[in-house]
Amino acid sequence: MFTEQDLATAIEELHNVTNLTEFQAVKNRYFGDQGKLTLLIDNLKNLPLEQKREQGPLLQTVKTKLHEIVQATTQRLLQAQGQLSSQSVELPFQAVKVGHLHPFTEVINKINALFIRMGYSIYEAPEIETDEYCFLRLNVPPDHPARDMQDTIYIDEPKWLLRTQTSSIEARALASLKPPFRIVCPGRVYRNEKPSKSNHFIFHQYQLVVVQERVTLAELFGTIQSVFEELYGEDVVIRFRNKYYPEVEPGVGPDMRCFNCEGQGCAVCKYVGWIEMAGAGIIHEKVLKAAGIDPTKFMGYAFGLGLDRWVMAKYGVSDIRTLLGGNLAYPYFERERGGKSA
Amino acid sequence: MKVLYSELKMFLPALKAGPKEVANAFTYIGMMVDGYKEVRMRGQKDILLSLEVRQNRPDCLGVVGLAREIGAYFKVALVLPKVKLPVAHSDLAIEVKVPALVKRVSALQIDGLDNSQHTPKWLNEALAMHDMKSISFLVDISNYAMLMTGFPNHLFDAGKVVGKLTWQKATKDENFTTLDGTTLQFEKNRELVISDNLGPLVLAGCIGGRRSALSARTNSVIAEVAVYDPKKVREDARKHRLQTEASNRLEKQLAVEHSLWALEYLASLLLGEGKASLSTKIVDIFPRTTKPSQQVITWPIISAEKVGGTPVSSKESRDILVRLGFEVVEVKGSFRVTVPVWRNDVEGIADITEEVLRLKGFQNIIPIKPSFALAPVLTPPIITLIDESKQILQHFGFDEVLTLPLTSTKANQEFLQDDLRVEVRTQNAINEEYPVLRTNLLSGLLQQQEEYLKRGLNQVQIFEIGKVFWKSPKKYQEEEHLAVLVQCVDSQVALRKIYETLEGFLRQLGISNLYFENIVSKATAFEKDLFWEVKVGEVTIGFLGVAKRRPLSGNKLIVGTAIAEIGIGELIALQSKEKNKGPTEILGKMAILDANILVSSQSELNSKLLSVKKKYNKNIWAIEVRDRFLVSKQSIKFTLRITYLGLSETAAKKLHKQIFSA
Repeated sequence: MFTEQDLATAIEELHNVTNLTEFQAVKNRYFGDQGKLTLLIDNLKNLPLEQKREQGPLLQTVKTKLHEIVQATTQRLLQAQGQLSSQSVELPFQAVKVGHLHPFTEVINKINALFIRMGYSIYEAPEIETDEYCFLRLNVPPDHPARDMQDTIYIDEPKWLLRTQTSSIEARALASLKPPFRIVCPGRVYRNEKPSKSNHFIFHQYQLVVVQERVTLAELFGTIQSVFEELYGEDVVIRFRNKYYPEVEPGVGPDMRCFNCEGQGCAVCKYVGWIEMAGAGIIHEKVLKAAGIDPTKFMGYAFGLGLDRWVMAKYGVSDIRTLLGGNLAYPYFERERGGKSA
Repeated sequence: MKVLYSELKMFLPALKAGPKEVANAFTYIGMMVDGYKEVRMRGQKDILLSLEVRQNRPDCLGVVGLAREIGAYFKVALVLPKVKLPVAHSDLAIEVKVPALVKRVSALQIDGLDNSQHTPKWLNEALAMHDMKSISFLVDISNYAMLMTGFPNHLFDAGKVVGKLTWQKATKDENFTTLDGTTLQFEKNRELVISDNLGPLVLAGCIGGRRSALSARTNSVIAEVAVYDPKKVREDARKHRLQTEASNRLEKQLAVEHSLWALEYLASLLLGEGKASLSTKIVDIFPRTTKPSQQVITWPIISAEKVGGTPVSSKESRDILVRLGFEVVEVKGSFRVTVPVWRNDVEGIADITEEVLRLKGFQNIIPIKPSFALAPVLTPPIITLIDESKQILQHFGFDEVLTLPLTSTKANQEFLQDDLRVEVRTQNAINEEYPVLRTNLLSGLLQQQEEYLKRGLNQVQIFEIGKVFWKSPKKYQEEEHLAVLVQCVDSQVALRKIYETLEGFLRQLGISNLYFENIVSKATAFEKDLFWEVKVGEVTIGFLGVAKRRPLSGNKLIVGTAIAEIGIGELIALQSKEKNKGPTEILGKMAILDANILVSSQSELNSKLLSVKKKYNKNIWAIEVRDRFLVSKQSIKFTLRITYLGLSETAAKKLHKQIFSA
């Protein structure tokens, strides 16, 4: 058994070596043919299953850590001798760590790439937002029941809050950009909820806004279909239904046929065969007017996708908390997981 | 909202469409069905639908409203039950003192009831389908009437009402006990209440009081249906944290014209099931002198086709609107559309367009794939820089993590560098452990590291790019930061790795001139003396250091952690100065010459080489450190290899001598 004390001793011995000869001796003591660590690892196969499960990961951790310090010591000794080349000393094998982007970034990059190809720009806006941009300019007055849908976290009620939807970015864009324009805006939004396996107080959304002389529902549907196909492949089945949102008219609820049961009904889709994925519609003329855009000259459409459920489904994540500061980890060696990144 | 297929059939006797078709129709026209369940009702097979009624359609918070929608979709006439009440002559004493808040009140009294009798089985079953419990015979009838009509009502035990019923603001500060025994504190001139001569009996639009509650001995009731100013109901409900079936409906714009019918429907049920008698005539108070006039909208017929991007004929539009209860008159390419009284949500041209398109069916609009369009590039440079930064760090072997932007004051204070950066506190966050916005990313990365260590992961090289927040005297600030964390068995190795990472990262972005200045930090999260400011030229862009060792549950192995955080925004200005110099045409042979230089530290060498590069940039292609030798504690000898560009060998030697012989 390799104890914590053994590890501390090994580290101390490696720290104390002053030349390559001493270093080689200490190294052999642990990694040589008859080295302590080598023998313990060789002996693993003879241990009962219970001990094997306990000792295996521990010895692997110790081995990796000692390899790191062996490398550091090698560098130190070489530098002390004025040598810079590391080729002259045999070093233990150390694979190069492969880096990964977060699943949200991967998905956002993929959707961004699609829209950049279609001539869109990427836009951003503050997360600490005012009531005016989060609600009022989006046709949600103070006493509007739609505010109940969005339990707001306030910074300084009633004016300052944490944005509850990426539509606030739309309100900022409408107020500051000169039409015609086409933008997309990935962003984080906040709701005053207790985190659980399926709910969080932070969500990720992806907003699209187009303002030009003329737009139609047919184009909006085609745009949404392109996003779904980009993410799920050309076989994806989508339906469009009417849905009320204060900032759009007509409002649209795009659904995707359940990827789990293919429309037959299961727990994932609450037995209806479809999964609600986004909110969309033709921008309400009140919203355009509030931004100083003449609705007789310009029209627009917008849609907002919730990214969390997409990412969870795509990467097989069962607990939404995993995605933010949770137990999301990436494989060290790509091939072990067949190239997947989560 | 839930509805039985058989309940829809009650109001749509000619409906031929089956439950599946009805469910699909609801979904397409704006009320998504998210539950479809086979049940038994009155001994028959039935289907229970759960559907989403959005805030703009309070008319669909009753079965009649839902049936009206389905009737319009399937072209089936809505048949309302005929209500004929017996004649009564006595008056009921009621008064409305706040006409601005009470749009309409209709009330009557019924005697000869028996509230001790059992609720009929069918009624019990029906209420259970709508997730309502049976309470007593009369209360159950009251609830059923609300479910059918969509209008909340209230039954007072007439024997407990003293004097006149009055709709008014609370007359004094006092406690009010609700039907469920909760005590509410009313403020004088605040809540809208229904009172008798002794005080409040009901918090109007929200909940009844215990004093006039029905009991098993109740044999006479005063029934009322009222419509209020929705803002007032919402205000009172929010103040007392109440969300009842009544407040949910009355805080929306119900059709005031239909409330009288709702009372008549309730009365007919009470008289029919309870074998009772009407003892007063209906008192109907419309405090506003004139009835609200119906809205008339001039709607260009082309609108539906223009917005939908699909053919919609004039006839099709007219048929749809008429089926939905709109009156339509064609005038020169437009329709003059009179909006039905129950559609308070329809206010303009866009609303009429939506009505036509939703009934036509979004499923009948063929999507048009978008094409590339030339548009001005509006992407701000910081977004491009963030993307580039993530790619570089990924290629350096780092994993990206995202941590929570809401955190604790303790986590912020551990990294506090600047007293002027006041943290931003939330006012009402229900998650007490995350009351403030983060002022740094590093505390989140260290928590992520702990998560990994708990699970035995020991190769930790992570980064995050995200916003940090603070409050300056005049406004709230947000800034994009980059934080990196390297965990090794030895903190010096970790430090070296993070140093190299930052240097490589900035060089990839076209930023050189990087150095680190060892300073004393106020931040308690760092090991003493192991803290540096990260500088590019004279500009401080962040900091780096060795994190204090933390007690890690489940992992007792020794860990050294180096961390760094820099402001991404700072890099844009620095990047633009140095990036994109472009290629150089090499016309002659390069001259390569070696030189030895004696300095006291690495930073002195850096400084010398930077000044050389700056001065002779045109003719120096590369400077490479080939060797290093510690001459003494105070001096290091570096061997450099310099590659000269655009010079003959003789000219290069001359310049080389000029630079390095000094």
